[in-house]
Amino acid sequence: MTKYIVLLIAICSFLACNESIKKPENTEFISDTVTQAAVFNDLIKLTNNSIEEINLKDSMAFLILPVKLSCPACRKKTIDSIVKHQNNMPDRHIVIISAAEGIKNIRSYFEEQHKELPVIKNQLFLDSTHQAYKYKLVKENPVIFYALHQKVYKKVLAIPATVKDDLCDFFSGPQDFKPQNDNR
Amino acid sequence: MQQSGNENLVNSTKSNIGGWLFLSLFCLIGPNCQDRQQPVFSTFVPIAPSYENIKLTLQPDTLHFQLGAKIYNEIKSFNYFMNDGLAYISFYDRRSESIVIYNFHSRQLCKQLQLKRILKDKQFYKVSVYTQNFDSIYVTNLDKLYLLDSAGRISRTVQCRDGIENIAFYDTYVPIVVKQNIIYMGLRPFVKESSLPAIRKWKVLCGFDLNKASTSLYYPLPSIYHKGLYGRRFLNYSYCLNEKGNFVFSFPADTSIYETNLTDLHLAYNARSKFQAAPIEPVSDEALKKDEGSKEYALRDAYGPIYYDHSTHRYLRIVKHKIAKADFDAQNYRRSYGIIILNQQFKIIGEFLLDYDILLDSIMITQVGEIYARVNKDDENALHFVRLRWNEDQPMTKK
Repeated sequence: MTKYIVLLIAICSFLACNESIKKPENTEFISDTVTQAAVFNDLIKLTNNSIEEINLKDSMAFLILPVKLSCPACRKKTIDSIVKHQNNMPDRHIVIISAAEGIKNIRSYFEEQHKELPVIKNQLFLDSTHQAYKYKLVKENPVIFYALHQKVYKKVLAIPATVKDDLCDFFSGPQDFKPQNDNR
Repeated sequence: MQQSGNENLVNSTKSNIGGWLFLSLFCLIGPNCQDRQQPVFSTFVPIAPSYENIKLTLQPDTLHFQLGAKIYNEIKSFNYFMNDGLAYISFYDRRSESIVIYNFHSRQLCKQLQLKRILKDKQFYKVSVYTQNFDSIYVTNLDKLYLLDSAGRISRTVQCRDGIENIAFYDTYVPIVVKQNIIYMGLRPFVKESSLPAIRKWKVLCGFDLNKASTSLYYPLPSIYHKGLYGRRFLNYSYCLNEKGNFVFSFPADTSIYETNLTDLHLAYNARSKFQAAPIEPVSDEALKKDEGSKEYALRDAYGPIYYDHSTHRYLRIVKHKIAKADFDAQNYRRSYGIIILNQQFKIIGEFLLDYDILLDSIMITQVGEIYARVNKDDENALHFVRLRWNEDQPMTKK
C-alpha cells in the first residue's frame, strides 16, 4: 500500500512540475488562406511597400513593437534586442516600431534606455501614425508574424513570460526559417 | 383536543411558512431596494428652441507653443490660468511625465516640473493636472489628489474613498470646481459597463475636503441610464459651471442637460440636436459582452462635452452624429460633429455643423472670453490652438 502512495505522490509531483514549466500559450496559427494573405498585405503596407519582390517570395518574419502600449518589461527587452542586433539582423526579418505620437516619441523610449534609435536599411521601419493598430495587427504588446510565400501562418504575441524566447527566435531566426546564407 | 392541537399546529406551520416567506422576500428584495440608487429627480423646464444664425467660426489668429527637445505632444490635461495679472497655460505631458507652463501671450516656456521627482517611488496611472496658480497645482494620480506648488512642494494629499474604484480627474470638459472649501472633480467611468446595478450606484463627482482629508461622492447618472445599458463610451459625461455657481451636466445618451447645485436645485432642459432623428437606444448586453461597444457607439448619436462661455453666458454642447451602418461596414468611421448653443436661460438659440477639425474635448475659454480649441495634435514640435469667434461679433456680420 505504501509503495502505491509513494508512486501516486511521485506521479502528482511529476505532473505538477511538468505543469509549472509549461510555456504559456502565446502562439496562434493562421490557417485561413484569405486571412493569411490579408495580414501579409497589411504588414507590407507598414514597410511602405519597399520590400524587394524576390524577398517577398521567400520566408519572412515581422516584429512589431507598439512602443507606447507595450508593457515596460517587453518594451525594454525588445529595444535592447533591436539595438543589439542592428548589425546582424537575419535576412528578411523586419522590425516595425509603431506609435501614434510620432518619431520624436518613439526615439524618446530608446533615449530613456540610454540608447539611440538605430537605422537599419530596409529592415527597420517606423510606423509613426500607428497604422499597425488600425490594421489590428497589434494591441498591447510586441507581436511577431512569420510568413512564407506571402502568407502569414503564425502569430506570436510576446508577453513578459515569453518575450525573451520570442525575441531570441526572431533575432536568431527560427530553425525552420534560418536564412540559407547564415552560417553562424 | 387532539384535532384542535393539530389544527393549531397546521395554523402555526402555515403562519410560520408565511412568516418565512415574508422574511425570505424581505431578505431578497430589501437589500436590493436599499442598494438600488434612485436617479435625482430633475424638474423638466420646457423651453421652445429658436435656431438663430449663430455659430462659431474659425479665425486666422492661432496660438503655437513650441515644444522643447524633452517635451512631447502627449498632452493629457491642460488649462489656462492667471497669476499676478499674467495669463499662463499649463499642460501635463504624459511622455515626459512633467507639468509644463507657458506664458500665454509670449508663448515662452516658464516652467517644467518633473512629476517623478515630486511623487517619488509612485506608480503613475491616469495622471491629470490642473494649475490654479503658481501656489496651487492639483495633481491626481491613481486614487489620490495632491496639492503642490510650482517649486514642487506637496502641501496636501487626500485619498479618494473606495480606493481605485473612484479615480478623480481634471480635464477641460470636467473642470475643477471649488465651493465652500470642497474641491469637486470628475470621476473616471471605471464602472462595469454591463452591470445595471453598478451603473445605478455609480456617482460622477468626487468632492475633496482638504482640511478634513476626506472625500464624498455626488450625483448619480440621470434616469435614462437607470433603464438600460449603453456601454462605457456613453459614460463619458461632461459638466461646466455657470455664473450662478451651479453645475450643468451633459451625458452622452441623454438629450437633456441638467442644472444642479447638488442639494436642492435639480432642473432639466432640452438640449437635443435638431439633426437627431430617433431616440438614442440602449445597447444590448450581448453586444457589450461581444466587445461591440465601440461599434454600437458609432451607430448612435451621442452628446459630448459642454462648456460655458462666461462672457456671453452661452452654453456650447458638442453633438456627435451617428454614422450609417453601411459606412461603418466600409470602415468609413468619420462622424460629423456639431455644436448646440443655449443661452443663459437654457433656450437653444443655435446649432451648426462643424466644417473644421478641432479636438472637441479641448475647448478653452480665456478670462476675457476668447475661445480656443486645440488642432493638429500630431505635430511633435508644437501645440496649436485655433481661435473661434461668434459670427455675430465679426465686423462683416454687423453690417
